[in-house]
Amino acid sequence: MERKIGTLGKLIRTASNPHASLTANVTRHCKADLVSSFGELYVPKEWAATTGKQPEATGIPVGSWVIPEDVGPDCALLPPKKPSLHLRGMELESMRATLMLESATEVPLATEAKKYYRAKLASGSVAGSTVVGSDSDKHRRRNYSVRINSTEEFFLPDRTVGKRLVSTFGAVLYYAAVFIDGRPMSFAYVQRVKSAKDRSGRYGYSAMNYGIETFLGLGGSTYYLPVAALSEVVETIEREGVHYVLHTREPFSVSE
Amino acid sequence: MFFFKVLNCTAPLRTEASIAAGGAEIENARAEGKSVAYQTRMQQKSGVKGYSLFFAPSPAAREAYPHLKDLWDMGLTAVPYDTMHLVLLNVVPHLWRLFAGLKLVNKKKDEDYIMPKVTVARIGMELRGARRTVPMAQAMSLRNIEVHHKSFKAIDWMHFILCSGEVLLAGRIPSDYFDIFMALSRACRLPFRPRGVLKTEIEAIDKDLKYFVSSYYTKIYRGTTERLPLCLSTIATLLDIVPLLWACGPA
Repeated sequence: MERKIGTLGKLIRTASNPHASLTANVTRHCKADLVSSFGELYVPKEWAATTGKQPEATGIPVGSWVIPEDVGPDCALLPPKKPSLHLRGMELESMRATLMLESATEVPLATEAKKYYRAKLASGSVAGSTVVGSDSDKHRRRNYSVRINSTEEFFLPDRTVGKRLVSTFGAVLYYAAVFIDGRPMSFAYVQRVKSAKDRSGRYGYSAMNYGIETFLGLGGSTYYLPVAALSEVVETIEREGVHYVLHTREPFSVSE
Repeated sequence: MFFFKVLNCTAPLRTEASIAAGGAEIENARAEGKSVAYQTRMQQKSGVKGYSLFFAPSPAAREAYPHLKDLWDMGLTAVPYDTMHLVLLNVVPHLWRLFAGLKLVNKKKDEDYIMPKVTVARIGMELRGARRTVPMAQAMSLRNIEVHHKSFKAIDWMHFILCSGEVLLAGRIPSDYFDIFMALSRACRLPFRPRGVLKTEIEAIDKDLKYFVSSYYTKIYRGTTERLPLCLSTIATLLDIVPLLWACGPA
């Protein structure tokens, strides 16, 4: 309503008969909006031919790689991407370990992957990746800290091992698309965060300061995990050497 | 309302009629060519600057805009508030000015809710430094609040009250005042989102806003004459948000 009122002044145009002028102009605007929305929605080809304006592309950009999910909305790896390359060293070892965890029937000795640097998560938000080299685009890779849906094992009173869902944090270094086991798979190469709560070899957990989730920075182990396990992008503010995770805000959570 | 109770104050409460009369008095003085100093004194005395199209319309405005008659007849209390201006451009900036020491009462700088200048400067730097962690659309909201608070837009204040304020103020102002700030923050997080609010959520908003308003008047305004500049009607107006949510839905 506030925005609407703000636009009315420009539509009056005459001091002698403001109400009639305003009514006529508002009616003309409403008709124009109605015609254009109808044309764009129901006769897009004819509309584009008449106006000379191509309809705006919706959904994910061309060159993206959509990852179908069994439950919930699909994720997508967004361009730009790098040509296929063989994973080596630590990356290869991590990939093999992840494939074994994912119960892949075939875990190859060599793996070829395409690297991406941005992904649209199932939540709708776009997650970037850290600046890792001269090929990086500083304007696109910025929101790379992510909340990860993880599970942890714990001992039950009867000394058996149970599993529970936990939320951990990490920074995405890049996204990898691979074709293994006869199907395409997508992974995020993530470095876990360190926090004051971490014990040796156990990274990714946040500590609590003033009731706010915090971590000290990156530096934990790196590993691959399915892109679908990334829950959301988190905003942080660094204060006195500690990164504080901001409250997730809905209105802009799907903005890039 | 007990929130506005001032010790030993017997001044009559203003009414719609008295405000309209005050506006007419100022306008008459202006038309008669009285000095600016005289007009200013009258404005300060009555708290009204003159005619207002929605609040105190002039006879000429009443004649020129007959279609607003229904609105005037309904009275001021029937018109829903615009929460963007009320919360984001009035209450939240006021809180920042209080905590940053920009709003002083009798030039007293030793209030316990005022942060040291060094801390305020650090907050500005921290907010500016967080830009790279947010999506492009939000980066504009993360300017140095110490330097740019005067040009902050509603969207910038929204980021402050919903997200960054909690982190930046925690542990830097006494917990009583931080609790007041967080009550408003929690109350804003629910209605300031694209989807609607549930009945239980409206009840939670109501609880937080009532806590905020009562705590503000008790702990910040404190009901004394010398602290009257902190007795703002915009704070009490927050109590109207929930009835308006019930009546009209989220703004």
